Amino acid sequence: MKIILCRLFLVLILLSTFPLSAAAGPPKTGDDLPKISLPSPADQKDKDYLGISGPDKFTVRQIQAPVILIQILSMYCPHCQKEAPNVNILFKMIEDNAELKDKIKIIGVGATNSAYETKLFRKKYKVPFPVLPDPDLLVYKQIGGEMGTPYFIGVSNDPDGQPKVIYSAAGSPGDMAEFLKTLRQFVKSR
Amino acid sequence: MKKIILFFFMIMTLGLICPDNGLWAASEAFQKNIYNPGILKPRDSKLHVKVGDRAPDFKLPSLFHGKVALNQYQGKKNVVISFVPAAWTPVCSDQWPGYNIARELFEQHDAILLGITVDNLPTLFAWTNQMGHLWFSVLSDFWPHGGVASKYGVLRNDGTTERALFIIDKQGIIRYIDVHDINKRPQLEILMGELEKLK
Repeated sequence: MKIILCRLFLVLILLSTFPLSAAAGPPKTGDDLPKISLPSPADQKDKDYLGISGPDKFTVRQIQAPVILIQILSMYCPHCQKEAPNVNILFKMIEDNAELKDKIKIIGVGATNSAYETKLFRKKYKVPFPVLPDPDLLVYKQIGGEMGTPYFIGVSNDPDGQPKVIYSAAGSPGDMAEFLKTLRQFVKSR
Repeated sequence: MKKIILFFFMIMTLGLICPDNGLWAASEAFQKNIYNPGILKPRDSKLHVKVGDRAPDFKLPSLFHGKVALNQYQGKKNVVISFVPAAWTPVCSDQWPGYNIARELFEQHDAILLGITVDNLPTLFAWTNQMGHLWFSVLSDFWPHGGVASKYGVLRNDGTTERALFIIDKQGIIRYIDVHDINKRPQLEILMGELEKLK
């Protein structure tokens, strides 16, 4: 009976540690970006923006840019709603800059949001970059979970290695011109 | 000894059922002010109405719009009633802000939205201020406590309400009821699909 109890203890300990590894919180600056599998956007324009093809999943490494900014958001989150125009400004600053266009890409991940809901968010705030639905929090959990929204993760997308996290913080990044300076330090030609 | 083994199995089962803390991607707007009650019994009441019934009338105090009665919309607008369990709780705090950017969708279906909780007006004032300016009326079913929720059969045993949606057509007839799992937020497209059926 003691052996059975010991085995039960062992199983209990293993089970209790599993959720910690499944949702250990978001990566910190300097960490490798966890391997995440993103749903491919339905819109060809979004695919062209990211430089990806195919109908199914894609990875951050496949995005054709040296720097990627991932915004975890929710259509239902008031701070994400408030922040949307600021992120649009950042997008425009990047796209209007010949040096940075095609070097920094932005994607949104709609945590708990269906495709219908992310579409509504994009329409309401005229969001020009892809916002990918994540209704079951699959991407959210792959990133690490336990993030309030909005959450921003900047990634240096080195094709020779695992993408590195260069920025990781909840809430507004503040002044977008300053934030862009932070991101552009990591822009390298591929 | 059997009891001990049973106890361990129960603990293990709980560990598998309880989601990790990251399940509610709560808005940063509320991060430090939300009371997390944990996972609740999905449903804890018995409906007193059904689809096809005349919706029980009510008159409740609201934030900013005085007293609001259901019958004031009869013959004029379809009405969506959104009961949410309580202010300052995780899923509720991330439900109405979504409806707040969906005003056009409600209007396309000639519908208005009434948000109801059993909280008092001062609490609702402070809570909804975190959501930005809401276009829809927020009603307090505080006193007599949960009176309207009780009429509809969505008052839970702990005095909060279910997370429930009712669609009432212009004739005052209930056309859709969703008493949702309290731990989850209903998807907007399902509600809009039901409103579409009223056309």
